[in-house]
Amino acid sequence: MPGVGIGGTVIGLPWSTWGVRTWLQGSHTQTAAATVRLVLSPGGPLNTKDWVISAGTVWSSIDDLVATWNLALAGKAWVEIVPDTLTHRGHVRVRTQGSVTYSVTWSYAGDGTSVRSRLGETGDVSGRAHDTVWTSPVLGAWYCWHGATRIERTLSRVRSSRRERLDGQVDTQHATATRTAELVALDVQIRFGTPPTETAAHYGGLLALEEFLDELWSASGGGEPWSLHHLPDDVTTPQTWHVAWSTDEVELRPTRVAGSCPGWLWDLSLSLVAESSPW
Amino acid sequence: MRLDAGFRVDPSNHSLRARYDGGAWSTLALTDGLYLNLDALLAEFETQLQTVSASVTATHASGVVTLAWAAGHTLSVDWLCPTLRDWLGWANAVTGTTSGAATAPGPCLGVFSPSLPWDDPSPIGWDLTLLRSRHPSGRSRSYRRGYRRRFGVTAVVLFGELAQFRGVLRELARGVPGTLWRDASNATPWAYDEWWGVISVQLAGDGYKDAFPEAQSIRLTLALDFTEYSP
Repeated sequence: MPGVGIGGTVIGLPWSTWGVRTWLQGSHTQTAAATVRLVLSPGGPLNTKDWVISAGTVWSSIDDLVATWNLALAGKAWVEIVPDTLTHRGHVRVRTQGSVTYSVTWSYAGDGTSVRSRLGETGDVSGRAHDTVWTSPVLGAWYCWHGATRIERTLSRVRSSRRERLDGQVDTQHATATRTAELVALDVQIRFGTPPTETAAHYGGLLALEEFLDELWSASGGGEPWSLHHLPDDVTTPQTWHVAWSTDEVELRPTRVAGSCPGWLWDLSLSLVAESSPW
Repeated sequence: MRLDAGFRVDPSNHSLRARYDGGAWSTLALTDGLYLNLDALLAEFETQLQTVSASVTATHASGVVTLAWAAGHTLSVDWLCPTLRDWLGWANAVTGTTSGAATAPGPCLGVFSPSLPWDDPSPIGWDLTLLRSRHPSGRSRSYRRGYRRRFGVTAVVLFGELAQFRGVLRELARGVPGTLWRDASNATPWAYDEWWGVISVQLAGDGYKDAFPEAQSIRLTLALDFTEYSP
C-alpha cells in the first residue's frame, strides 16, 4: 500500500470519501547502517523481523521508506502512513498478523535513530497494540485536504537526430535508452485549507505547510529531492514525482481562494523540477 | 490594521527633564534600545515620568500621545532632544497646567492608523534560500541557508494621509524594524492560532513602490511586503 491508507480509516474524516488527493513528502538519507527489529507478541524467531538498512541509503519519500520496511516485514506486519485530515499531517500505524501487540527496537544494531525520529518516535516501541495510530506525526509529510488543482510538466522527448541527404535518403539516429530520465519543469498549484469539520484553527493548513517546509531540511536525513504524490480519483496508484525547487531563491505565497470563507481555503503555486522519463 | 516604525533610543536622544507641581527639575533618561512600536516606547516613557509622580500616565489614541496626571497638579516636560519630541508629536515643551492632561498637537511620526480598511490577499508566505551542491553520484543536494516568514498587506491610503504614511514608510525603508498590527486593538503576539495578533516586521526586499495614483483616484493602493523581524 503506497503509504496513505487508501480506503482506510483516518483521523478526522474518512480519507476515502474524497476524490483527488495530493501529498508532499520529504526525502530521507540514512547516514549510518542500522537494523530495526520488530517483534510480534509473544516473540520468538518466527515473530521477529529485522529491517537491515545500509549506510547511505536514500529514499525520496516517506512512502518509499515505509514500502522498504514492509518488504522486510514480509507480511508479518504492515506499516502505513495515515493522513490526519485535521492537521494535514501523517501518522504511522502498524497492523500485525493476528492483531497482536508489537515492539520496535530502532537501533537493534547500528544507529536507527534518524529513521525513528523521522517516523515520529522518540524511543523504542514496546507492547503497542495492533492498529494503534502513533501519537506524533511523521516529520516531513504534508497532506492536502483538497487535491492539487494544477500539475503541468514540460514535454520531454526521446533524443534523436535526422539527416536528409541531397539524393533523398534519410538517416536517423535515436537514443538507445528510450526511458532515460530528464529534468523537466513541473508547475504545481496546491489547494488546501480548513477541512469542513474544522471551525477553530482556520490556519492549521498554513501552519502544517510551514512545518513541512522546515522539516524538509531540519528533519534528520532530510533534503532535496523530495516527493510530490498525486492521486486522481479514477486511479488507485498515485503518480509520484521526485522533485526539487526550480531556483535557489524560493518564494512561496499562498493566496486566498476567491469565494471561500476568509482564511479557509488557499492556493499555492510551486515551481519545481522533476526527474521524469520522456512521454 | 496599524503600522508602526520602530524608534531607537540612544545617548543622543534619551534625555529629558520633568518636574511636578513646580518642584525641582529631574533629568530622566529612557533606557537605550530599539522600541518596535509606540506602545513599547510610551511604556518606557511612562516609567521614567513616574519617577517624578506616580500619577503620570502616557497613552495614545491612533498615534496621538496624551500625558495625564492628577488633576489640580502640574506637570512640565522639557525635551532635551528634539528627535524624541518630534517623534512623539510635540513641537514644544509641555508646560504645566492643572488640567491633569496634555495631548500632543500631532500624531507620533512612527504610527500610521489607516482610515480605510487594508486587505491581505496573501497574508503569509515563506522565503527559502538554498545552497546546492552536486554529489559525485550525480544527485544534487541542497542545504537551506535562509528561511523567513513573509507578511503581505495591500495598503489603502487617502491623499490626506500620505504624509503620515510616507513618514512611517521612510523609517521602514531605512531598514528600521517596526510592528504590523493586524488588529489595532489586539496586542497579543501573532501566532497561527492568534491570527490577528501583532507582528514584528521589516520591509522586505528593496523597499516598496510608491507611485502617484491617477489624477481621478482619491486613494493610493499599494502592496507592502514584510519579513518577520526577530532580534
